Amino acid sequence: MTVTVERDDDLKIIALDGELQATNADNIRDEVIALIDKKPMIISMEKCVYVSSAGLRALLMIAKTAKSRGVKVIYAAIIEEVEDIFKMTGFIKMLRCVKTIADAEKELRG
Amino acid sequence: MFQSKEFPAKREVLPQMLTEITGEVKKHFTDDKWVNRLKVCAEEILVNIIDYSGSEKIYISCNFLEDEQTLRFEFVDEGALYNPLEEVPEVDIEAEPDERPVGGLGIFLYTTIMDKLEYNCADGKNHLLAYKKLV
Repeated sequence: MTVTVERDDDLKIIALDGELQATNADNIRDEVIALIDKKPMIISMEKCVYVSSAGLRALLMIAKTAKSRGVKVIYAAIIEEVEDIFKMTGFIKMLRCVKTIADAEKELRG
Repeated sequence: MFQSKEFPAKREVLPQMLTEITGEVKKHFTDDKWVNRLKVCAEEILVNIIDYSGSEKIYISCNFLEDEQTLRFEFVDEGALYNPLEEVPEVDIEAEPDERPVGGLGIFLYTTIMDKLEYNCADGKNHLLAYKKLV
Protein backbone atom coordinates (compact mmCIF):
# COMPACT_ATOMS: atom_id res chain seq x y z
CA MET A 1 0.00 0.00 0.00
CA THR A 2 1.11 3.55 -0.66
CA VAL A 3 0.24 6.72 1.25
CA THR A 4 0.22 9.86 -0.90
CA VAL A 5 -0.36 13.45 0.16
CA GLU A 6 -2.51 14.64 -2.72
CA ARG A 7 -3.08 18.10 -1.33
CA ASP A 8 -1.74 20.15 1.53
CA ASP A 9 -3.15 23.68 1.77
CA ASP A 10 -5.90 24.64 4.21
CA LEU A 11 -6.65 20.93 4.49
CA LYS A 12 -4.84 17.72 3.71
CA ILE A 13 -5.96 14.99 1.35
CA ILE A 14 -4.22 11.70 1.99
CA ALA A 15 -4.79 8.86 -0.50
CA LEU A 16 -4.44 5.20 0.49
CA ASP A 17 -3.72 2.94 -2.47
CA GLY A 18 -3.63 -0.86 -2.17
CA GLU A 19 -4.39 -3.36 0.58
CA LEU A 20 -4.33 -2.37 4.25
CA GLN A 21 -3.52 -5.64 5.98
CA ALA A 22 -1.33 -7.34 8.57
CA THR A 23 1.95 -7.03 6.69
CA ASN A 24 1.76 -3.24 6.30
CA ALA A 25 -0.82 -1.94 8.82
CA ASP A 26 1.70 -0.76 11.44
CA ASN A 27 3.79 1.14 8.88
CA ILE A 28 0.74 2.75 7.28
CA ARG A 29 -0.58 3.72 10.74
CA ASP A 30 2.74 5.41 11.59
CA GLU A 31 2.95 7.11 8.18
CA VAL A 32 -0.54 8.60 8.44
CA ILE A 33 -0.16 9.58 12.13
CA ALA A 34 3.03 11.44 11.21
CA LEU A 35 0.95 13.53 8.78
CA ILE A 36 -1.58 14.63 11.42
CA ASP A 37 -0.91 18.22 12.45
CA LYS A 38 -3.61 20.85 13.00
CA LYS A 39 -5.20 20.79 9.57
CA PRO A 40 -8.44 18.94 8.85
CA MET A 41 -7.76 15.80 6.91
CA ILE A 42 -9.53 13.84 4.19
CA ILE A 43 -8.48 10.24 3.74
CA SER A 44 -9.28 9.15 0.20
CA MET A 45 -10.22 5.46 0.22
CA GLU A 46 -11.06 5.18 -3.49
CA LYS A 47 -8.04 2.97 -4.21
CA CYS A 48 -7.94 1.20 -0.87
CA VAL A 49 -9.18 -2.19 -2.09
CA TYR A 50 -8.98 -4.23 1.12
CA VAL A 51 -8.99 -3.62 4.87
CA SER A 52 -8.49 -6.51 7.29
CA SER A 53 -8.79 -6.46 11.08
CA ALA A 54 -5.14 -5.35 11.29
CA GLY A 55 -6.06 -2.51 8.93
CA LEU A 56 -9.04 -1.61 11.12
CA ARG A 57 -6.73 -1.45 14.14
CA ALA A 58 -4.48 0.96 12.24
CA LEU A 59 -7.49 3.14 11.33
CA LEU A 60 -8.65 3.05 14.96
CA MET A 61 -5.23 4.26 16.16
CA ILE A 62 -5.29 7.04 13.54
CA ALA A 63 -8.78 8.07 14.75
CA LYS A 64 -7.68 8.03 18.42
CA THR A 65 -4.61 10.17 17.62
CA ALA A 66 -6.57 12.66 15.50
CA LYS A 67 -9.21 13.01 18.19
CA SER A 68 -6.60 13.57 20.90
CA ARG A 69 -5.01 16.32 18.76
CA GLY A 70 -8.40 17.91 17.94
CA VAL A 71 -8.07 17.20 14.21
CA LYS A 72 -11.14 16.34 12.16
CA VAL A 73 -10.66 13.41 9.77
CA ILE A 74 -13.16 12.41 7.08
CA TYR A 75 -12.95 9.16 5.11
CA ALA A 76 -14.20 9.53 1.54
CA ALA A 77 -14.99 7.32 -1.47
CA ILE A 78 -14.90 3.98 0.36
CA ILE A 79 -15.33 1.02 -1.99
CA GLU A 80 -18.22 -1.39 -1.39
CA GLU A 81 -16.18 -4.31 -0.01
CA VAL A 82 -14.37 -2.11 2.50
CA GLU A 83 -17.60 -0.35 3.44
CA ASP A 84 -19.10 -3.78 4.15
CA ILE A 85 -16.38 -4.49 6.74
CA PHE A 86 -16.79 -0.96 8.16
CA LYS A 87 -20.53 -1.63 8.60
CA MET A 88 -19.98 -4.99 10.32
CA THR A 89 -17.59 -3.47 12.86
CA GLY A 90 -19.36 -0.15 13.44
CA PHE A 91 -16.47 1.77 11.85
CA ILE A 92 -18.95 3.30 9.40
CA LYS A 93 -20.49 5.24 12.33
CA MET A 94 -17.38 5.60 14.46
CA LEU A 95 -15.40 7.26 11.66
CA ARG A 96 -16.86 10.12 9.66
CA CYS A 97 -17.42 8.57 6.22
CA VAL A 98 -18.79 10.35 3.14
CA LYS A 99 -19.37 9.36 -0.48
CA THR A 100 -16.96 11.66 -2.30
CA ILE A 101 -13.90 13.85 -1.78
CA ALA A 102 -16.06 16.83 -2.79
CA ASP A 103 -18.56 15.99 -0.01
CA ALA A 104 -15.70 15.83 2.48
CA GLU A 105 -14.28 19.18 1.35
CA LYS A 106 -17.70 20.79 1.54
CA GLU A 107 -18.19 19.53 5.08
CA LEU A 108 -14.75 20.61 6.28
CA ARG A 109 -15.10 24.06 4.75
CA GLY A 110 -18.81 24.33 5.67
CA MET B 1 -10.02 -27.69 -3.59
CA PHE B 2 -6.66 -28.43 -1.95
CA GLN B 3 -5.54 -30.68 0.85
CA SER B 4 -3.08 -29.88 3.61
CA LYS B 5 -0.99 -27.44 1.61
CA GLU B 6 2.10 -26.56 3.63
CA PHE B 7 3.37 -23.00 4.15
CA PRO B 8 6.09 -21.51 6.38
CA ALA B 9 4.39 -19.72 9.29
CA LYS B 10 5.85 -16.35 8.36
CA ARG B 11 4.23 -12.98 7.76
CA GLU B 12 5.99 -12.57 4.42
CA VAL B 13 4.18 -15.71 3.17
CA LEU B 14 0.76 -14.36 4.20
CA PRO B 15 -0.04 -12.77 0.79
CA GLN B 16 0.72 -16.10 -0.94
CA MET B 17 -1.51 -18.02 1.48
CA LEU B 18 -4.33 -15.51 1.00
CA THR B 19 -3.98 -15.68 -2.79
CA GLU B 20 -4.35 -19.50 -2.67
CA ILE B 21 -7.39 -19.28 -0.41
CA THR B 22 -9.05 -16.47 -2.33
CA GLY B 23 -8.53 -18.34 -5.59
CA GLU B 24 -10.48 -21.26 -4.17
CA VAL B 25 -13.19 -19.04 -2.69
CA LYS B 26 -13.74 -17.37 -6.08
CA LYS B 27 -14.55 -20.76 -7.64
CA HIS B 28 -17.64 -20.94 -5.42
CA PHE B 29 -18.57 -17.41 -4.37
CA THR B 30 -19.31 -14.95 -7.15
CA ASP B 31 -20.15 -11.99 -4.92
CA ASP B 32 -17.00 -9.90 -4.31
CA LYS B 33 -18.35 -8.93 -0.91
CA TRP B 34 -18.22 -12.56 0.24
CA VAL B 35 -14.82 -13.18 -1.35
CA ASN B 36 -13.55 -10.19 0.60
CA ARG B 37 -15.24 -11.26 3.86
CA LEU B 38 -13.72 -14.74 3.68
CA LYS B 39 -10.28 -13.28 2.93
CA VAL B 40 -10.58 -11.10 6.05
CA CYS B 41 -11.45 -14.21 8.11
CA ALA B 42 -8.56 -16.23 6.68
CA GLU B 43 -6.08 -13.40 7.29
CA GLU B 44 -7.08 -13.07 10.92
CA ILE B 45 -6.82 -16.82 11.58
CA LEU B 46 -3.44 -17.04 9.80
CA VAL B 47 -1.96 -13.97 11.50
CA ASN B 48 -2.87 -15.36 14.93
CA ILE B 49 -1.10 -18.63 14.10
CA ILE B 50 1.97 -16.83 12.68
CA ASP B 51 2.28 -14.35 15.55
CA TYR B 52 1.32 -16.42 18.58
CA SER B 53 1.45 -20.20 18.01
CA GLY B 54 5.21 -20.65 17.69
CA SER B 55 4.58 -23.17 14.89
CA GLU B 56 7.05 -23.17 11.99
CA LYS B 57 4.48 -24.39 9.50
CA ILE B 58 0.83 -23.93 8.66
CA TYR B 59 -1.19 -26.54 6.77
CA ILE B 60 -4.27 -25.29 4.95
CA SER B 61 -7.04 -27.36 3.39
CA CYS B 62 -10.00 -26.05 1.47
CA ASN B 63 -12.88 -28.31 0.48
CA PHE B 64 -16.29 -27.76 -0.99
CA LEU B 65 -18.91 -30.00 0.65
CA GLU B 66 -21.33 -30.62 -2.22
CA ASP B 67 -24.18 -32.02 -0.11
CA GLU B 68 -24.15 -29.03 2.20
CA GLN B 69 -23.13 -26.49 -0.48
CA THR B 70 -20.55 -25.35 2.03
CA LEU B 71 -16.92 -24.30 1.77
CA ARG B 72 -14.80 -25.77 4.57
CA PHE B 73 -11.36 -24.47 5.50
CA GLU B 74 -9.00 -26.25 7.84
CA PHE B 75 -6.01 -24.50 9.40
CA VAL B 76 -3.51 -26.74 11.18
CA ASP B 77 -0.44 -25.71 13.15
CA GLU B 78 2.10 -27.49 15.34
CA GLY B 79 2.48 -24.73 17.91
CA ALA B 80 1.32 -24.37 21.50
CA LEU B 81 -2.12 -25.89 21.92
CA TYR B 82 -4.66 -23.10 22.04
CA ASN B 83 -8.36 -22.90 21.35
CA PRO B 84 -9.08 -19.41 20.00
CA LEU B 85 -12.82 -20.04 20.28
CA GLU B 86 -12.67 -20.42 24.08
CA GLU B 87 -12.56 -16.71 24.76
CA VAL B 88 -14.33 -14.63 22.17
CA PRO B 89 -14.27 -11.01 23.39
CA GLU B 90 -17.37 -8.90 23.07
CA VAL B 91 -17.04 -5.93 20.76
CA ASP B 92 -19.22 -2.87 21.22
CA ILE B 93 -19.66 -1.74 17.62
CA GLU B 94 -21.39 1.45 18.79
CA ALA B 95 -18.39 2.63 20.84
CA GLU B 96 -16.46 5.83 20.11
CA PRO B 97 -12.73 5.65 19.18
CA ASP B 98 -11.47 6.48 22.67
CA GLU B 99 -13.72 3.81 24.23
CA ARG B 100 -12.64 1.10 21.81
CA PRO B 101 -10.00 -1.47 22.73
CA VAL B 102 -7.46 -2.03 19.94
CA GLY B 103 -7.80 -5.83 20.03
CA GLY B 104 -10.67 -8.25 19.50
CA LEU B 105 -11.88 -7.11 16.09
CA GLY B 106 -10.40 -10.02 14.16
CA ILE B 107 -12.02 -12.82 16.09
CA PHE B 108 -15.25 -10.79 16.21
CA LEU B 109 -15.19 -10.66 12.41
CA TYR B 110 -14.54 -14.32 11.77
CA THR B 111 -17.02 -15.55 14.36
CA THR B 112 -19.61 -13.20 12.82
CA ILE B 113 -18.90 -14.05 9.17
CA MET B 114 -18.44 -17.83 9.31
CA ASP B 115 -21.45 -20.12 9.79
CA LYS B 116 -19.62 -22.58 12.00
CA LEU B 117 -16.19 -22.86 13.63
CA GLU B 118 -14.71 -25.93 15.30
CA TYR B 119 -11.46 -26.44 17.16
CA ASN B 120 -9.76 -29.72 18.06
CA CYS B 121 -6.29 -30.86 19.08
CA ALA B 122 -6.72 -34.62 18.75
CA ASP B 123 -3.23 -35.33 17.33
CA GLY B 124 -1.37 -32.75 19.39
CA LYS B 125 -1.81 -30.12 16.71
CA ASN B 126 -4.20 -27.19 16.56
CA HIS B 127 -6.99 -27.73 14.03
CA LEU B 128 -9.34 -24.87 13.34
CA LEU B 129 -12.19 -25.61 10.95
CA ALA B 130 -14.28 -22.83 9.45
CA TYR B 131 -17.45 -23.35 7.41
CA LYS B 132 -19.36 -21.03 5.11
CA LYS B 133 -22.46 -22.07 3.21
CA LEU B 134 -22.92 -20.62 -0.27
CA VAL B 135 -24.99 -17.45 -0.24
